[in-house]
Amino acid sequence: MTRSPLLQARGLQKTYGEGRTAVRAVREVTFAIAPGEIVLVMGPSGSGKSTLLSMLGGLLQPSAGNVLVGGEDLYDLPRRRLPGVRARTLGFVFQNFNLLGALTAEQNVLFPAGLIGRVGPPERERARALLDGLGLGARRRHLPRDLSGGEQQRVAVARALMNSPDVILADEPTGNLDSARGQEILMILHDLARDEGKAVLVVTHDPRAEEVADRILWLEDGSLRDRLAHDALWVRDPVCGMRVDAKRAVAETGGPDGRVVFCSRRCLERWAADPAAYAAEPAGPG
Amino acid sequence: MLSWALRSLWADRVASLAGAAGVAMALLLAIVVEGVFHGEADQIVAYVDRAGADVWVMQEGVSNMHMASSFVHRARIDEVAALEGVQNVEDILYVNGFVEVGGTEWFVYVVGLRPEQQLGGPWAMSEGVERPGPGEVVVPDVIARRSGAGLGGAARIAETALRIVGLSRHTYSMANPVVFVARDDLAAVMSAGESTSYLLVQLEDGADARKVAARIEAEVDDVSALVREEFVESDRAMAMHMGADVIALMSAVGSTVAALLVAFTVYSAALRRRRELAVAAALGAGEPAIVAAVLTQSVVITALGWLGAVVIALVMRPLLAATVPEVTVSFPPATLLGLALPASAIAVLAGWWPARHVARTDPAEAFR
Repeated sequence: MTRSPLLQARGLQKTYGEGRTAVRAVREVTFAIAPGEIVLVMGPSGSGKSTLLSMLGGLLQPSAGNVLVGGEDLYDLPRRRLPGVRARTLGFVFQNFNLLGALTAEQNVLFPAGLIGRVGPPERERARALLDGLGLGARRRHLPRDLSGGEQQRVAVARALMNSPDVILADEPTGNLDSARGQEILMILHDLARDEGKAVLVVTHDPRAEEVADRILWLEDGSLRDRLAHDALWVRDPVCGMRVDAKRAVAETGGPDGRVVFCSRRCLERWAADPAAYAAEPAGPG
Repeated sequence: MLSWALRSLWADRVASLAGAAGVAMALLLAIVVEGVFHGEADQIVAYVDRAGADVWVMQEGVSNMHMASSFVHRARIDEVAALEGVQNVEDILYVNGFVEVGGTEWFVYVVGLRPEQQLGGPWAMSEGVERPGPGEVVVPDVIARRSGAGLGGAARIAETALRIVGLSRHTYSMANPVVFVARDDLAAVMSAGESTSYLLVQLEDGADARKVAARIEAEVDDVSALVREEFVESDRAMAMHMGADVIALMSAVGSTVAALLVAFTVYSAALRRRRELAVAAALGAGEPAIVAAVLTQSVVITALGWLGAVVIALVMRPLLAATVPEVTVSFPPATLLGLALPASAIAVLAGWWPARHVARTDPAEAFR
């Protein structure tokens, strides 16, 4: 039996500006995500990934097209209803966390529950369980400024899950994290799809995410395209062990055995500090 | 949301206090302008209020002292004194004019007093005697200080040279400082003859002032009579009317500037929080919740600012009196309390606009 998609984009378009200065950030994007599916949206910088994600999350009015969440067209709703739908059915994990600085980790997680008028003992219990499950039980009374980047991202994930939304949207969820923390977040998203049947869409540059994805949508110049197989040259980051596309690596260096690429500058710095500690896999000529 | 709004203010204490300080300065401006207005409005009638008369009697048709002339025949003193309910009647000679003290000319009320007179003289003294003798004058202490004069110093009214023998307190206002001279000296200057200016009437215990005033007007020819409260209000109205344009302009400018400053401060505070409001909106906060959060913050900032302005004003008042004695400042509680309402209304309007804008803008646009 075919499962009904939880999230659908139909002919989605976004154009900034008008006339000769108009920029078409997203062009005619159509796809669907079923329950339990984890889908990546990848593509070069400036390809329209974040714009697409914002439209899918009800955060940005499309120029044309529809976004259906659970069969309901987000942008066909009366405007006053959209915030409630966002709070109930969509969980958004922002790239830069966007935690509310005045609230503790636990209060941040509870915040969406307050928006739908439910902040009682069961919700507090759930918030604590979410934080415990993400290894933040001891940090729940801390303000965001007292948390590391990884901890803040996990709080953001817990917040996105607070109201048990059917759809999770994550914008570069590993972008600010080291390899270990990034992998941890990816596994959490993976488990949400597999174990809880959520529809998970992840916008990312991080090739490690491909290992947990069911499908990859390649966005280039605002349009979904097939990614050619020969387009990537996969090697291992010698520091963190993650797969890295040598053709698109953000950090690289020359080693005695040839070019070595890394998933991030952080890994490059670690390598530079002690190259002998890591076994490099040559990436071929740059 | 409201709890978050308050926590957010607390978390950003420095900015919140800066906002409250901005509001406080704006409201202080309005309070000081109003304070000068109220202080002068009270001080301008201080003499008629404190002269000791229950009923004032003057030339028929006259109802003021401010910038007025009144001529009453001295025979009327005995006629008024004979009426039922009257305990005591004394008269003053009065003219508007200039007194020269220490080389500076001051526009003043000149009041002529008899040596034995109980009513119509200064009611508080800084130094010297209350009743001037021939060739003597009592001037407000503010004039003496500003002119560098003191007891024994020289003064001049018209061509009459006088010696300062007393410095009175609370008799100075910007519009009508009061100086006191011997009645005979002023009579000579005015060529008053058998005329006097005002009769000051004290009533017997239990006498009804309005009935006595009506009786005076009915039984004494060519005079008008007003109970003290009516005379005070009539004089205040005349003084305010004569200075209304300037006062209204001062008040309007002060209030407008204060309103704009409050609005700008609150608006800026709301704009500073635009991004976190957009985060709340992205998480599912609707327009009413966002507007309520911003308005809560705006009203709290304004309330803190108002409180600060009131405290500063009350602390400033004695300092102002000491350093700028020529300006009388008064902060009636009703004015201080009354300012809170328009300030809150301005804060609500100034906060409402950016809040509504954020609530109606796509959150992703606000993040850009």
